[in-house]
Amino acid sequence: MGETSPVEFFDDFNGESDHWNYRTDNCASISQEKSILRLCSGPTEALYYSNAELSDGLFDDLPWVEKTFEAKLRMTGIHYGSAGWGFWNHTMQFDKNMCMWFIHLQSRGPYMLQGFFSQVGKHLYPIKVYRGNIALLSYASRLTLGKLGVLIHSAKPSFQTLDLTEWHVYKVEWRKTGVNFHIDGNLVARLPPPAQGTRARADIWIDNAVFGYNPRDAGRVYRHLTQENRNTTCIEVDYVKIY
Amino acid sequence: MNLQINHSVVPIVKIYVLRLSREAYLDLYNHISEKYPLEACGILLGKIENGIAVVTRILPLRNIKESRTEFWIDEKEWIGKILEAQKQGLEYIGLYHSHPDAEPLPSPSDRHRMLECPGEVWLIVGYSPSSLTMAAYRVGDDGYSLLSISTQVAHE
Repeated sequence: MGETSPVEFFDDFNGESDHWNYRTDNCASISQEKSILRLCSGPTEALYYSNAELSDGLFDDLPWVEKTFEAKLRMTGIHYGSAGWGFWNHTMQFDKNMCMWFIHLQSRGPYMLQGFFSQVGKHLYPIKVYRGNIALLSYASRLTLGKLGVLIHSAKPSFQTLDLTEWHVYKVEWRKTGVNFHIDGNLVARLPPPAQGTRARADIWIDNAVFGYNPRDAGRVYRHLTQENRNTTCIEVDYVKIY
Repeated sequence: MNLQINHSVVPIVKIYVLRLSREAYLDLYNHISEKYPLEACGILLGKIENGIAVVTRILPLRNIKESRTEFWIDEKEWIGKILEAQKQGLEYIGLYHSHPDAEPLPSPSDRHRMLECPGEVWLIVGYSPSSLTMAAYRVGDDGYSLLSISTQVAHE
């Protein structure tokens, strides 16, 4: 058993907190009831970006370095778009983006990442695959020297039977030597650490977009590829802990 | 909620030993000596268990550089052979290539390529008609270091 660090932040959503930034974009909502926080997106057509997001930092005001993010949560459905939780340094720029999170990705079209992953920057580890050949994609990502924008570390998903609509405890352990991802105490991925000096915020979001990568993008950012959802999908959060 | 071991979780395994079966070693030797003085390259296949990668089969690939000092592969050939081997129950372990008349140390381009291949083992074989030395490497957890791992050849 490893040493447990002191808890630096804990919220069980039992009352109001001024710790968080709450963001909603188009057909999205955030509510709190009976000690559960609900972040919801949709229904929405694909013309608009719909997003509900909880975070505790902005571009140059990022509170956390080498901490553990822990949350107990579930999704109410598997929608088109993305959802995720963990740490992020709040930039979508190719060269600066540093996320350390669990991420659900599903798209209606021929999108290569259709599943649930752990991610640190360009490094991804598949946890559950919804469709497609992750083995082929994993091998291809290694050969193309970054042209796909991602590097998929394993040809095998680590927890294919995971049910995202059930309650689980998710943990992102950000350490100097690497980032470990746990679900209900099971190690499901290990990825290289971000660059030294990285700072990040805690972040939980649900939206109707998957990220797109075009190396010739004028803004040098990952773009939102928005999706149509005909229902509302939510993330229900029991608690968040940082230590 | 009880946090407990879920047996459907695939363990995250790091490879610490590369063990070649006798047959795989002889096939490797034959391929490399046949291609000498050019660099030879190919795929390592077998099974990974408890941190040991056991190579039971090698599959030669064409070195599209046809060079004494560098190699690269035909990507379609590489993927096609891996997927075919998977159907036969063989796991992809990594790549091998030879360094004719040189030590089995990663060159700058080897290192660059290896860092794009986390989870794989790269076996480098230093070969001349009078000697053969092997060294195997994988990417460290930090994502930018290369770790040398133990290489063994089975007697049987």
